Amino acid sequence: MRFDNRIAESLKALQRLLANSPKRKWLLMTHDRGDSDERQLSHEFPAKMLGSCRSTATLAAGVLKNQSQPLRLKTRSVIALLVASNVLGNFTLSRGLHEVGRLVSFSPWPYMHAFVNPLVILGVLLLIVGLISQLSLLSRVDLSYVLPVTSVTYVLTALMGEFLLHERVSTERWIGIGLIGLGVSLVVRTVPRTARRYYKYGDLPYEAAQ
Amino acid sequence: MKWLLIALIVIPGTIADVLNATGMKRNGEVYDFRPRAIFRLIASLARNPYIGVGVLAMAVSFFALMSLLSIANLSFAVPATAFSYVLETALAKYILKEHIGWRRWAGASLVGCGVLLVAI
Repeated sequence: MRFDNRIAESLKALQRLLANSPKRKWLLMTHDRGDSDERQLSHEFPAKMLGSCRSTATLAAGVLKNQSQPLRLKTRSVIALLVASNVLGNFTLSRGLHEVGRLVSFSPWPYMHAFVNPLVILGVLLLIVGLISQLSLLSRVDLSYVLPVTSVTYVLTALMGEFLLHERVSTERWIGIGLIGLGVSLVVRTVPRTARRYYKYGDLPYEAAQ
Repeated sequence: MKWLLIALIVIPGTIADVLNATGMKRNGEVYDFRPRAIFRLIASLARNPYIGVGVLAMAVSFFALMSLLSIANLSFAVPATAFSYVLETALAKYILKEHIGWRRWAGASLVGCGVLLVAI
């Protein structure tokens, strides 16, 4: 906390510096070009000027504003969260359902009974985390990017079978794992978002609102 | 019966993904992952018709997969889901207007083939 306060002090100093130094010229120039009294800077900018990193500047700005900052996750972290929760969720759910026994019934009671098992509950909770992270991923990134990239779950499930459960992984499986890896490495090299953006004004796409 | 179940897996699954993608794009980008913000997100998604129908279709597809697995082998069930990678990429191009270059086509096809081989 004290460290954050120190950065906040430096940010204030930077504010003063920008107000009365040769930097004024730069400020005036951007003022003329931007044609407004407000300049929006990314947190990257003061971080660079203070020789620190972006997250520190964000924390310091939070101290300055005296409020908590949203917990931002990068798209790659959300992908990792989605993959991890799906793999672990499927694993614990199938373990739990094996403990419960056969489940082929049209009456809801056996399913209710299954929900008493702690492994089943844990598995379902993990799959819910997976669903929420998939939805938040879809809010940022193309569907045709999310689908291939999250197929890493198949690879991890197969590898977990090999190394944790000591199942034999056949040659076909290894080839399949290789193909998935190759496909994912191709898709990762594309621009994650190409779909049109919706704007909140009247819920119309930007082009249509013109 | 088996082919009916396959149709019940692939078609609702595909519809679910397209609807969820549309709904989430309209809902706006999710950037806050604190617990309170997540609850707010869930509350706003519950009122989003795209997401509602999408999650419903997802559930249909999931239970159809469960029933198919109880009467058929995994090696019969999974090829259908593997095919949906290419199908959904095509739908993303024409319905969601995503720009899909050769990398994405090749990637989706490779992943589909890979899933096929891993499951067998």
